[in-house]
Amino acid sequence: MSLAGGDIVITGSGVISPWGVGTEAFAKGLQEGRPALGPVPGCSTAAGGVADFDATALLGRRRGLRQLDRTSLLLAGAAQLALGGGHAHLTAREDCGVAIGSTFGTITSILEFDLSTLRDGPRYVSPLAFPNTVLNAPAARVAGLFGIRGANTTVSTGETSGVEAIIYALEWIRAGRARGVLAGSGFGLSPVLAEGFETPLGEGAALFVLEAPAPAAHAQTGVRVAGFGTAFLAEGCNCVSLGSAAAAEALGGAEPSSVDCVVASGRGPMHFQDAESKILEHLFAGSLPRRLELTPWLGDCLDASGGFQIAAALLALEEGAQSVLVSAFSRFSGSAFLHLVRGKGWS
Amino acid sequence: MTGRAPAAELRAPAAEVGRRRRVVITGVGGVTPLGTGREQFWPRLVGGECAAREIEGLDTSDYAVHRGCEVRDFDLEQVTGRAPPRSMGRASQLAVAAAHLALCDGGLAAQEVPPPRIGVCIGTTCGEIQVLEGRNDAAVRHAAAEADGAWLRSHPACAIPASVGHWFGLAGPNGMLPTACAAGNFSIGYSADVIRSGRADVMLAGGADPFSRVALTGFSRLGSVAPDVCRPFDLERSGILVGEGAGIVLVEALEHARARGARPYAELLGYGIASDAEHMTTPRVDGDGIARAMLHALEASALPVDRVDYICAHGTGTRINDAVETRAIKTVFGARAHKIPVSSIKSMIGHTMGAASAIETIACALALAHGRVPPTIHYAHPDPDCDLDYVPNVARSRPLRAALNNALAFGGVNSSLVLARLEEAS
Repeated sequence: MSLAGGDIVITGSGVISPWGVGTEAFAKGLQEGRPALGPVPGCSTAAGGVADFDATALLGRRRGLRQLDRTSLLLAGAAQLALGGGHAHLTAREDCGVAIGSTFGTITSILEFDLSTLRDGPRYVSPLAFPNTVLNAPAARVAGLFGIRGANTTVSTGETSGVEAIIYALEWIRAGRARGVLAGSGFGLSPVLAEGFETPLGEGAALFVLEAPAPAAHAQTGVRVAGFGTAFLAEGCNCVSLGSAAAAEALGGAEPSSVDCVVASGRGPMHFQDAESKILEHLFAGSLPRRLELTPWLGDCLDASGGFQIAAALLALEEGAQSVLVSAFSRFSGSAFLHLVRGKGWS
Repeated sequence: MTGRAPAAELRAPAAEVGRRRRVVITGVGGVTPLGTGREQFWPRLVGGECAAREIEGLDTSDYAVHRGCEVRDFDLEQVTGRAPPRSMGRASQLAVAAAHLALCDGGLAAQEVPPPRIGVCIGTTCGEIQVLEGRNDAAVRHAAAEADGAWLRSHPACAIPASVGHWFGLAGPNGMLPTACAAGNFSIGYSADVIRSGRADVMLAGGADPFSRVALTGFSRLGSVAPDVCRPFDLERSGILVGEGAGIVLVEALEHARARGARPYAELLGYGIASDAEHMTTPRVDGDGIARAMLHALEASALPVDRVDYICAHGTGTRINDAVETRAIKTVFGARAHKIPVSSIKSMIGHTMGAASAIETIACALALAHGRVPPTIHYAHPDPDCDLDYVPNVARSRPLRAALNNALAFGGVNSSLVLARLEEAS
């Protein structure tokens, strides 16, 4: 879906990753190619944890903050970073929204609440823990903390959640449901999840401010969302053809050869694990541009993966790329592509 | 990877760009505590039957409440003629069954639509919650193999729409919007957006949630579960009854429906969403969020307020929700609010969580098609704070032009969906 002429731009970002708090820490870790996997308190396996993350240092001592689970705290921190850079105009508004990708992030809260039911009895469970069991809790917590009173949703498509949340936000803006949207994804680690996956996990959150019509300054110098495409790689379908068509849709009329960099997910559906490689080979007819992949450094960040991919794409543009394709795949057969380009006047 | 056809050839360019595409509901599929499929569900709904029973799927001896609205004797193979994979969770099974029923009801075989042009969008509150609860049961029993985290990684909420996509071979947009008790409205509204923007021609949209120990425990601890029946808007209302189910509607571009000779139940005109951004479990007392959601929905639909002939209320039966929703309806409709029938089908089927507003959308579509307003049962004592026409106890026949379906959720999430009879909308 080409967004040519739509002028939807990314005007802010907030990133909390295993490399540290802030986009600068993310950029430094990426530039150095520094592995962030290591021991995490409570986890028996190595993981990409955000060491010493302190939500109150970012958000201050706010009422109710201690009710938030780790996923919500990471997302709230990322929201503070994204909105802190001159985007106060988006808070306390009815025409701005929140779209957050979160699939695995609340599972730990659900398990803990239910275990307490089994061990202590249903009459002794804390009712204060119940709201964290709904999958939309992180998005609602972020909206509540920043008074964002427009549309609010959660998108759960597994590891593509971050990219799908951005697509959702784009659809809202195009449909006139919102003027600006805080969108992205996050995931908080826990021992039970870290031990439940075969590969090392990572955690963090990355949120972005999307605005339209583009503020004048950003229309020239910001990052423009040029297009997107999605395909569900259903068993029995021609997945390479489906995925390539979705990626081509994201590029709109742009030639694949004009893409300077692909930020890939490095995963594929359970029934076709090397789907991404095959699809990108097909799309670029064998001459792949520079390919970035974050999992080897950060671990599998599940829901946060898509947000981190977009953060990496923004850095690539900042470093000189003109056109970047984000390629996100989930083990549940989803694929989502986002095409980001430099603003017209960015020299 | 063997394919049915090259996807690039099937991915038709959006034909309607630049013009507002009209979107209709052409099939409905419900697996509800009142019955499976339209033929069981609708007569029982307008007949005012109550699905509340003693809970069977869970030992409630340690709970203060013991009644709920379960889907009894559900068997996916019986509904579809095909056995599910052993690993498929109950939420996915409910959703697949409802999707199958919606396709059958709409007279559409999924294979008739090019795979990239038909998608899925489903909502939920807790996803495959019974899988997570099963893992905890095993952990407490020290059954290490069953407590293996592999079950956690295989059954996130997105497994529900993925199961539907794989079952029917659908390659269009595939999404999960888990906005709790408003999830059905979100998914159906977004599916209409997807069709309007040309990304698909057909969507299977709705919500699914299985019966959940977490939900029963949580709502019990909040003091929000009724001991016997759910009495929305009644002075003596005392809460919800936890339920389960799935509701899926076949959402289709009007020109696509007409080309294949389908008869739409209703047109999806628009929807509105708004956030309270305040409390996680309690709506704003002034009803501002739900009022804004209704106003956005009416504005998006370009529908004058005097065309709304029915409001399918969120109507949970809790003290605060029903009073707040009543206040919001009066804010939006003014004096006319008292002339619009407002009913809560939760009085009959309980609160089916993420499926609720999807099943209520089905009720709205059938109400418009049949000119029948489902009742609010168990209504006996008027409440001065709830002073609208709640269609007490008996269904009502009257021509309906447009209906509004409200859904509120944890997190201060509010939504409203507008449906209209096709001739009225045109």
